[in-house]
Amino acid sequence: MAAIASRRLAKELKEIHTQGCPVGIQLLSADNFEEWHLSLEVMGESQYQGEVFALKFRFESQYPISAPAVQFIVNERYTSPVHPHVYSNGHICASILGNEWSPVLSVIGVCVTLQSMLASCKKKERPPDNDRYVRHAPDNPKQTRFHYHDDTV
Amino acid sequence: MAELQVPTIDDLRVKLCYICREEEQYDRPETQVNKSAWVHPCNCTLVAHESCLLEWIKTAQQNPSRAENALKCPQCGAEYEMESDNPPTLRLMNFVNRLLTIGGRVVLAVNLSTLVVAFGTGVYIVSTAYGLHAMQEFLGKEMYDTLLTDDPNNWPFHAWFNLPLIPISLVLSRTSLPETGFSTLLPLFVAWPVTKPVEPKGPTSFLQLAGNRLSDYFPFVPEKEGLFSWPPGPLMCTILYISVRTAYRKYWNQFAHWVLDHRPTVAPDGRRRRRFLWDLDEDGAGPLRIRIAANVLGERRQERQEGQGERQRQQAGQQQQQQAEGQEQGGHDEDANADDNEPTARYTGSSLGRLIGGALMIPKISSYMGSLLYQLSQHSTILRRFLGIRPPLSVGLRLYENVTPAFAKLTPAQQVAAYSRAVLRVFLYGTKQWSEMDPVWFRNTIGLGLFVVAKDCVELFYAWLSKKELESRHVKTRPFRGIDARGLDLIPPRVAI
Repeated sequence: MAAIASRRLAKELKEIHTQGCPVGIQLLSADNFEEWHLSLEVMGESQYQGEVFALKFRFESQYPISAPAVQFIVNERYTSPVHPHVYSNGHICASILGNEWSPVLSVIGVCVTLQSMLASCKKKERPPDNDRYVRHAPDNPKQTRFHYHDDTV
Repeated sequence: MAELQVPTIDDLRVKLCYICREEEQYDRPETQVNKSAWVHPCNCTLVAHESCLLEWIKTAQQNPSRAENALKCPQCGAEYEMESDNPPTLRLMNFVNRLLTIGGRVVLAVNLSTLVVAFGTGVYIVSTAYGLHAMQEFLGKEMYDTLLTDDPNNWPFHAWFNLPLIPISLVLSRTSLPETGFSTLLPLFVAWPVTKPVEPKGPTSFLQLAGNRLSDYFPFVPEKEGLFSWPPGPLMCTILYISVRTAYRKYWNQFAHWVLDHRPTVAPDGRRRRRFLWDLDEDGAGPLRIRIAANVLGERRQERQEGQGERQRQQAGQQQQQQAEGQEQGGHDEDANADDNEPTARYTGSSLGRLIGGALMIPKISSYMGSLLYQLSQHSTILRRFLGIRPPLSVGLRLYENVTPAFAKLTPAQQVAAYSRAVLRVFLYGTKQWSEMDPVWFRNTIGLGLFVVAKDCVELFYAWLSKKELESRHVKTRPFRGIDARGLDLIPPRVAI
């Protein structure tokens, strides 16, 4: 792991510890600079009231030049939110995790963006190509070339 | 005056790189370990290490989908301005590089087209060779040597189009688009009969062709037999062939429908419907059997439907109206079962092979049938006369025999008349070679026709047998042998009163 990546992640971690997370976001685990887990909850009135999700961040050595691989954790405890841009295996079709990633974003920044993505959802449904995608999806969502449809939802 | 100076990056007390999040404080020198220069490239408050920013820009530019955002501030969207040493040498080399890229594309395109052309040429050569073989089979050796020969130098120019078209047309003629298949062969039939025969002594120049030698093969003077000799010329035969074929197809279809006892399916707009089905791993019954099964089943359903219609009729008592309705219903039913009744061109791996193989066998078959007819004609004068069999010309063509030396001395009116007669003759009998030589092609055509009829008969017989078998099918019922009768819920035996 390149020095820049670990130093930057150390800084982000320190900020989380000193300043705390925004409402609805909690750090679950950050034992190393390769994989972090955070929990996500949509506050206020929304389609996802009372639901808690977990996000998995995977960092490459090129972070923050390269985007982290972010997905919802799907296991016996957590599920992936039913959302038109979230596949049932937890993969997220969001441009900020792909070609619109920029180093100005951070782990907390991504969490907040995803939180507002869920909060603005009007109708809970899976992406239209969910079944097909999930059948052939790679383990790492960064290997998928998503076509970002609309940013309004 | 108040704004003495616009602050720059160097005036910031705390500098935080938005990429690596390293901090540098003006009053704490121990934070200034990173020697990298700082930049403020945009309009907002983001600052960064120049090395970090360059790294980011370089990475983003390498990814085509991100390249357009590489030189933009992620926060305010302002364009970064890049400065770099761009000496003329580098610019020249960049230019050359771009040219090479374009050149590479051109080379690729040329290579691809070469490949296509090479492949096309291969197909062309093979098709031409096959066409040549087909012509030899069809015309017979003697006429082939006069009209075409093995030497491509002697070929008339239209041979280069017509020969390679032969295999394609043959295959097409066996698909469900016979009209197209035939139309591609048509130029062949039209062009060849009026073509000058090959000059055995080397190629003929165009001047000679247009000049005095025209009379060598263009029959200015009627033959001794008169205007009506047998067999007709190739042009006449083509026309006859088309009409006979069309009529045959029409009546044969009617006959086949009568034998198999079903009506041809006609779409509401009167066109025949065709379905194409590609099924390369076929199994079980062949397409013919399936088609017949579909027809039989469709009919059974229809009968049931009609029966229902009849019951309705009795109930309502308004016979005529109901009858019409019943018929309509029948029609609907046919529509609904279009999948079953539609004539389906079902292409399976083997049927495709049969189609192409069978098509390419046509010249061989027709040649074989022709020689069979020839053998038979040895025993029958009528057949010999019908086929117009002539002894082969051993001494070459009698080319000059009929040319009138006085042709030049005729009046213009007589010349026109002579010309018209000649044209009519070519139309009816073809050029001299065609009318003088043993008409192998004629008996081959007749032979092929007979073969087609025989084949159709066999196919129809097969279809009829299959249909009979299908119609007679029932599932055999068995007694409950070996099963305890007490365990079955049986009708109580009638007690005698």
